Amino acid sequence: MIFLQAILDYIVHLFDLLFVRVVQPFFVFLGQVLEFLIIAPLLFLSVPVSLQVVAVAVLSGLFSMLLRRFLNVEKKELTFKHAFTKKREEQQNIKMLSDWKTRDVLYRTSDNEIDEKYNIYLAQRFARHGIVYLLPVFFALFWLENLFSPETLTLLHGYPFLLPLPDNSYGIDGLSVSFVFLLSYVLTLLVCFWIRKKCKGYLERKS
Amino acid sequence: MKRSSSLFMVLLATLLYLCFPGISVAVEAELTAKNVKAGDPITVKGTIASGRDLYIVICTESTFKPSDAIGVKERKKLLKQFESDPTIPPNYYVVTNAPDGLAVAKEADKGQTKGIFAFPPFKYKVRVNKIKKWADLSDEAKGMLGPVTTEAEWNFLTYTHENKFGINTVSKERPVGGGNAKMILSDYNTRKEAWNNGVRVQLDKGSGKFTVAMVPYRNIAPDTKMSVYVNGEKIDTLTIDKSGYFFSTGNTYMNPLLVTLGAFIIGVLFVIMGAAGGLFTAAFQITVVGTKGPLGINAANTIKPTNLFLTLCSPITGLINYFKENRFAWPVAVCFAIGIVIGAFFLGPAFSAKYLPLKAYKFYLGIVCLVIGVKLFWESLPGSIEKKKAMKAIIQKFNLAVKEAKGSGKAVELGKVEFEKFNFVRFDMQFWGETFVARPLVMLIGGVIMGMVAASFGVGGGFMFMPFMTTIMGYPMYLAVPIALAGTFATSIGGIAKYILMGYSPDWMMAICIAAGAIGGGMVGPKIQKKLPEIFLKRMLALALIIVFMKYTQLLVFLR
Repeated sequence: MIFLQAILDYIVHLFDLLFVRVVQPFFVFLGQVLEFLIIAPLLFLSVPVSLQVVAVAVLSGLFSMLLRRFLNVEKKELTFKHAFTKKREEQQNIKMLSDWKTRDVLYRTSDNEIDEKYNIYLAQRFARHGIVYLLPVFFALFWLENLFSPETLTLLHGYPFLLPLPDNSYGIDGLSVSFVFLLSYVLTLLVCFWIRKKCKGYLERKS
Repeated sequence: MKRSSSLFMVLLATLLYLCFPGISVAVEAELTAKNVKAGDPITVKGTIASGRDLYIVICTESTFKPSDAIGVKERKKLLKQFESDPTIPPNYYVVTNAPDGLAVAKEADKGQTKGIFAFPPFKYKVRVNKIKKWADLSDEAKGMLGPVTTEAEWNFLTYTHENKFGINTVSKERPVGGGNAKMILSDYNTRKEAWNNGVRVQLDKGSGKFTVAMVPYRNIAPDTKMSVYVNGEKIDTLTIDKSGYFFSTGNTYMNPLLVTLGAFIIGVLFVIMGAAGGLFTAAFQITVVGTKGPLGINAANTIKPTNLFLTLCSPITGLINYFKENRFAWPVAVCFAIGIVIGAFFLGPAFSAKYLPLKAYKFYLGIVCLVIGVKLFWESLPGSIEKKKAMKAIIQKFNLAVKEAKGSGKAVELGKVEFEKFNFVRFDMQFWGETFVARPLVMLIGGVIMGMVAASFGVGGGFMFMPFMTTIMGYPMYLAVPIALAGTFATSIGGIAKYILMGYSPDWMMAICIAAGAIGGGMVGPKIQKKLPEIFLKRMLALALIIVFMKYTQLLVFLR
């Protein structure tokens, strides 16, 4: 038991070292670079905090679109669909076999294969969407939460929100950094997708 | 003259001591370290007047009052109970050689003390250190409590150490053995009670020399200043140093890489089970990570929004495709989604923040775990596996038919919903060549209830939607799956929006770690799934869920 505990402690210690020596310094550095590149110019231009949050949300939205492109999301979806249709066509060919036993066995095997491929595709799609949308949003919100913490906002404005709201029955005191960010991020994505659709339509018409 | 004035001074001091025994006399003490790592012991050494009892108060220098609570519901509840808005240090300990003056060790009812589950084994007896009422404290003891000087402050302090809501909102320290949080402590060798574990009090009454050591709450935020009082006199201040990475919103120390690793395992389990990812992450946050939430916010109101963000990712992947493929039977889907948004936005979070603090949340989450555990075991039986395979085959064939129809340009035509007359209660509709009975009102009401329940627990709700549609509504899987997915999406959106508007923010760093781990697990899961013994794994998971149920409902004595 003591031996196991010692091994566990050693593993935890290794993880601690990895986090403290590698992961944390990297993200601290990244945060400082982003602050220098995005927040410092906005502060210099005396842009209000709410608009700074909107600006970060717009940039995060654009980054997500870039990631989509970089990860070849559309291409991968299309490739899977082609492969899937091909498999299905192959499965249809099995029907031509006259021996029902062989036909049944082959059909089942092919069915399992399709099933497996579809499961992998679903999981990979979940991962792609997680990388494209979820992680940038969480990182940006974590960064903003540290930049504009309720304490900082109270020092700046006298209240811990970005925008205070009048008294209401829902018990909502004001709009938080997270809310303004998420709203702006979703709107940015919607606008980007709309523009992309329009551009595609225009190019198709032109060609 | 000189001799008579000295005699007068001695007489005056004796008189003062006899009249006001609380007044400290000749206290000399020091801390062995001014900086203490979170979770490490604090040691105080010194001398007090001979023959006196020793009272050492160790508490946070910053204070908290009900009106400071960030959470709207928490503020209302605390202010309703403590109208005078008393100020207390959120972490407060009295270490003494005479604890009987402040608290009495006794058996008390804990667990579900009221409500429909207020019976054994959910209601159980546990040994607690019951803090005495202010009126029952001796005058001497009252003068030794450091910054706490009034009855209102003492009552609030008692509430934040004895009541689960108070503990999970203010003091945050895990109750000892399912009872109370630590507050009045004494030497473990003299009084072998669970709450005294790790406490050392050595006092030589003759000389007044003492040494005291105790470990305060291990998740106190880094750089927190703590004051130390000896017999009512402030002697020094110490600073808590961090002990690893501190999740500022989650209010707990843990290595983020370990959280990611844990979430990776959950991701793999999610793929194997195909459901209940939200439940697993909630249990993971409560038990493994130990999310406590910021001061003034009940722990459950940090866990729920974090969870809802994570459940958001799963439905967005499939939803767009279902829309493109005309797979939504809109008369039922729209009503269901509206119902869910109503339940998840207007009812769930407000209901949950008020009525589901961590204690109740854990209990009912345990019940849900039991239901899913039993369901999972049922699914591991050979008959169910065959049935599931047949179901999967039907869905797959339908999916292929949709793809073919889409390829040949027939999808729009087949996916069109046809009905003669819309009726809010019941009407027949045609969808993908089949006739179904649509009951929009039932779907709406069902949506409101399930949306409320799902958002209250901070989960997607897929485990409720599917049985509701297939068993109660009688819809086939290919009709139910897209609607359930839309339901999960609506729950996440509605719940997240309301929780954030109410000021309950997730711990973003924790969300990053869990999302990254779950994504990794989701990618690896399907690849190893075939190599794993599915039935065995399902049964093991069912067992794990039943153990979680027993832990959260506190049925297991050794896990309390």
